[in-house]
Amino acid sequence: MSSEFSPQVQNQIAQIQQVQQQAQTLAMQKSQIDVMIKETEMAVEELEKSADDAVVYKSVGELMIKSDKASLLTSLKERQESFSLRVQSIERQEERLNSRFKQLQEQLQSMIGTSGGGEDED
Amino acid sequence: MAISEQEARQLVAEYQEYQRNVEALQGQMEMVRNTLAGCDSSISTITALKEAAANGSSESVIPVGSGCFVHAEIRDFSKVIVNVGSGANIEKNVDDALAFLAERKSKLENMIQELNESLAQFLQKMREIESVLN
Repeated sequence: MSSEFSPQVQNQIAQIQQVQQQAQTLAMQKSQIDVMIKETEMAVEELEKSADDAVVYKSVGELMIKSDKASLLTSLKERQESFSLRVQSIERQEERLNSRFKQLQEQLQSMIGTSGGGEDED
Repeated sequence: MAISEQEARQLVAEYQEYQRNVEALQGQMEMVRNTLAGCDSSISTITALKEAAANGSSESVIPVGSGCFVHAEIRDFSKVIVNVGSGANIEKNVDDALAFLAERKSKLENMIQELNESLAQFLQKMREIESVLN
């Protein structure tokens, strides 16, 4: 960040960078949850293909506990639902961050416009 | 073609973004390759066990760490418990387990191909920027 800028402009740029970092963190979290959703979908698909009396186990830490197809499916579907809710929550946070980003950017542009020092803005 | 300082900065920023994407893709590719290697290893092990069962051999040794093994006898060669993801494990007969692993392997290979294509696109864009900046 250039020291040619006034402290107000520097502060504004720092806020924009902070919002960008938060947006990156959210995007990373969302992509991790998307991977888990995909994995759960595939597990559900595979389980649905198996016979109703198939022998199934649920992983609990290092152990595998014998279960049954119906309850394992229910547990996987609950997991899917919980991931979907987390994705929705992240999307809402992303929307808020986007509007905050635009607001900060507009403020910065008007600050630079007012001070007439707009040639060095990154 | 001469470019302004502002344009050059923009290109450098784009280049850095592509570089970050390339690094992320390379990391993903490494993970997928490791998973693929694990898949290959499971296919070989299950196939070897299947052959051993066909030869009437049930004696084996199991690892207990630090290169040490104890004797074990495999009671049932006909079933394999397969982790299908998200903590779900299904008992399958050997052939079904092998078919499942072969399908998983094929998906992983496709994934590597897609990642390679994306990687090539990013590297191409980086080369284009390099040629403008040099």
